[in-house]
Formats: sequence, C-alpha cells, structure tokens
Amino acid sequence: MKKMLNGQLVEMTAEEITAKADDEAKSAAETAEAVAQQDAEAAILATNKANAKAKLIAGEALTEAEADTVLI
Amino acid sequence: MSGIISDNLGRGSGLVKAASAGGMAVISTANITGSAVSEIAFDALFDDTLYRAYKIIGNLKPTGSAYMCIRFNVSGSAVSSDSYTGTQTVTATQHNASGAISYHWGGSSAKYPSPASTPYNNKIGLGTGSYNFGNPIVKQHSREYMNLDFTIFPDTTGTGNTFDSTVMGNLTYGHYGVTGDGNSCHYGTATISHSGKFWGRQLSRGVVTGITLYPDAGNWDVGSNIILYGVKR
Repeated sequence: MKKMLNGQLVEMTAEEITAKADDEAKSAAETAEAVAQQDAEAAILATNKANAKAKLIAGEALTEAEADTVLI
Repeated sequence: MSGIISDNLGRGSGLVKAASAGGMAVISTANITGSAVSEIAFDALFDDTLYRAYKIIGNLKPTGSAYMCIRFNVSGSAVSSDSYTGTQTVTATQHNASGAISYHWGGSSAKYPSPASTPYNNKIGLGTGSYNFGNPIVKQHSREYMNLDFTIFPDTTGTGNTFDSTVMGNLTYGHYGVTGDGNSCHYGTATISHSGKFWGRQLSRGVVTGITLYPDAGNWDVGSNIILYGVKR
C-alpha cells in the first residue's frame, strides 16, 4: 500500500497500515451509529405523525410531539 | 514590474517570473496515476518567511463511498490523537427525477473544547462522524470528484500555541444516500456544500509541518489531482 508525499509515491510502513485499518474501523462504527440514530429519529417522527392523525380523527388530545408533526 | 526573471518555486526548470507579493506559487503537485493511494500528504514545505497562507485546490475521488478527513502533521507525521475542533455549515439540495428541487437541508455543527469525558476529534472530518461535521447520510460517491478549495493558515513559527492551526475552505460533495435512509437519493441528483472553520486549540502538539488528506475508507483513486500553493508575502 502506498501514499503520496510531496508528489512522490512512498511505501507505507506496517504501523501506518495498521493505523489506517483502525481508523477505517472506527469510521465505520461512527457511520453506523449516526445512521441508526437518524433512522430512530425518523421512526419516532412517523409514529407521532400517525398517532396525531388518528387522534385528530377521534377528537382526542395530542401530545406536544404529536402536535409538532401537524404544524406547518 | 522588475526585470528579474527567475525560476518559479513550483517548477524544477524553465525561466518563469517568480510570484510577486500576494501572488500564488505552486509548491507541490499530487497527481494520482497508475494505482490508488491511501493518503496525500504535504510535509516540510511550509515556510512562513516566504508565504502568508497556503491553498490546496484540486479534485479528489475516493475508490469507494467515503468522506474526506484531514490531519495536521507534526514532525513529519499526521497527528491522530484527539486534537481537533471546529465548526461547519452544511447545505444540501436534492432533486427529484424531473429535476425539480425536492429537498433542502441546512445546518451547522460544532465541536468545541469540552470536558475530558468528551474528547476532541482525532481528525477534521467533512462528512459523517460521531461528533459533527454534517449530514450523517452524506458521503462522496466514488464516481464523482469532490472539488477542493482550502485555505490554510498554519502556525509554523513555534510561538504561542503551536497547534493553533486553522483551515478554512469550501468543499462540494456529490450526494450519496445510505441504503434505507429516507433522504437517500440516487447518485448525481443532489449536491452538498460544506464550509467551515477548523482548528486545533488548547492542545499543543508541536509545530505544524504539514497536512494529510485521506478518505475515511478506501483510497484516493487514479485521476485525483491536487496542488499546494503558497500565497507569497
């Protein structure tokens, strides 16, 4: 594996290769965490929206989170 | 204009008028040909007696979906410990199949010095990340080049906080939607713009000697090309 230093190709050391693998693993974990968090937030929003619709039809009181989903 | 003609600092030969004060001189060029490389680094090229600032301009393409990371070098090696802080503004525009804008998104994020329980970033990241730096669904698509325009003001004098380096710049990404995400979109249908100010602060790591750019996964692909310029004093 090579890197480019000041325009010249340089062979990476074993330590640098190991460090790159560690960095990539950490980045993959961070990405998975971020995506999972976003998915969870989207799921909560969808649930609140569905609940808000059902309660509006039934004439029931909405929670604040549910009301937020129907306000423009 | 004087009559002196001398070699441009970025050229090995030829008679070229040297950049005058305020002009930009090519310091180093990185052209990726033949096979991909894991990172691109410029080191031991900063010279505060010659340059007031530095610019990195060019195009980078990852071998797979990835976002760009930056680290500063000290004593020739990229600092990988938790040392980096910064703020960033991100805007995104997504288009539907007919070309109309279907989605706008904008926001800012920051990672400030904080208690030891919340460490600094170990890199300047311009994509996903556990701390900040943008929309977590964004990565650079491997079929697209990201366009770089960075201005760097490294403190290489060794005075004060020697790791108090600053990078400012703008970066445009092609939008890559993570599978299953509600805001996912097909390649080429959206753009992301990043702009921000990034710096190392409080944690002195030594005199900055260079900068390293690398993708969070994979390599920089063949065709990537960036140039380090110095803004002459």
